[in-house]
Amino acid sequence: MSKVRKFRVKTKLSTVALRGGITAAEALNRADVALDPYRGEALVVIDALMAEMAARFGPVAAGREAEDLEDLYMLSSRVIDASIGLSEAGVDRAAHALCTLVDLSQESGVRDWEAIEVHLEALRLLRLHGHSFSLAEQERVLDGLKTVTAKRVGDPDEQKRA
Amino acid sequence: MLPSDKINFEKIQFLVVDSNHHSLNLTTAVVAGFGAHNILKCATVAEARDIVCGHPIDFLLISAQMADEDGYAFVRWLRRKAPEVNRFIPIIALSSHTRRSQVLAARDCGVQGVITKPLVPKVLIERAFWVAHDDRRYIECDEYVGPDRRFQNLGPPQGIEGRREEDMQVAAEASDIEAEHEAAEQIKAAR
Repeated sequence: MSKVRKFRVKTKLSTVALRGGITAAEALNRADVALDPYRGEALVVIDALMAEMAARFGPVAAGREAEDLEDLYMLSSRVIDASIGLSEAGVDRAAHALCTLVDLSQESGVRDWEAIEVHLEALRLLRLHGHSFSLAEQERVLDGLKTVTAKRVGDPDEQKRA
Repeated sequence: MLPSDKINFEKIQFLVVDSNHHSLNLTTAVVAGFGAHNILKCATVAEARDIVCGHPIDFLLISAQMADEDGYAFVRWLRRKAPEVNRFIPIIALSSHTRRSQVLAARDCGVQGVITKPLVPKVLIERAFWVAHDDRRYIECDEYVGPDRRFQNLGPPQGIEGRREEDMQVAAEASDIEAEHEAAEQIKAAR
C-alpha cells in the first residue's frame, strides 16, 4: 500500500477572502450587471449552434452518416455553456439530454437518427417557446426525451446504477 | 451563506480556464462582478500549465471539457507536478455534461467541487464561500492527491474494520455511545 500523507493547507482564499469586502447580495447584483452585455450574445451563440446541429445532424442533413457524433456532443455542450438566462426555458436541460443520448450512443455504438431528431426538435421548441411553458409542461418534454433515450439507446439511470 | 455575508476577492489571484471563448468570457465577467481585480484567463490547457508554472494562483476555475486536453487530467497533473506554491490551491471544475466514463475522473482528480453549467452566479459564490470555509485535510498518496473526499467521518460501515487510524477511534466512540445508551435503557427498565 502506498504511503499516505495527510495535512491541512491554509489558503489565501480561506484567509484574505473572508476579511471585509462586499456582501454576497452586492456581489450577485454586480455579477448580474456584468453579465448583461453577454445575454444578447448568448442567444445569438445558441441559435448559431442549433442551426449548425440541424444542418449537420438534422433530418435534412444529407451527409450526416459521415459526421462524427463527437461534434454533436460538443455543439450541444456549448449550448449548455451559453444558456445563461435561458435555463428557465429548459434549453440547457434539453441540451444536457442530447449530450447524454450521444454519450450513451457512443458507448453502445447505436446511432439512432430518430432519437437525435426528437432531441433537436425539443431543443428548438424550448428555445422558441420554453419561457411560456409551465414547469410541468417543460418537465413533460424533458421526461419524453429521457424515455426516448431509454427505449432507443438504453436507460441512463439504469446504466448509472449498474 | 447569507446575503449579508461578506466576501473579498480584491487580492485573490484567479485563473479561469475554458476552451469555449463565450463561456470563458461569461465566467470571467461573473468573477469580475464579484469584485475580483486579478483574473488571468486562457483557452488551452497548455497555456494554463505555463501560467501555473509561472504565477502564484489563489483560486482556479477550470472547464472539465477542454479542447486540447481533459480538464480533470490537468487537475491531476497540477496536484502532483505543479510548483509547490500552486499544488494545493482551491479548484472548482465547471462541467456542461459529465460523460459516464468521466464520473470517476471527476471524483478522483482532486478538485474541491464540480459546478454544472450553465454557470449560475449564486451557485458559484455559494461554492466559493464553502471552499473558503472548507477545512478538510489534504490527502496525498500514489492514487490520489487532493482534499479528503470524505465530508463527514462517520467511521466505517457497521461490521467492517476501517482502513484508517481514526476509523478505530470513531468506531470506539460509536461503541461507547451505544454502550451508554444501552446502560441508560437498562436503568430505565429497572425503574
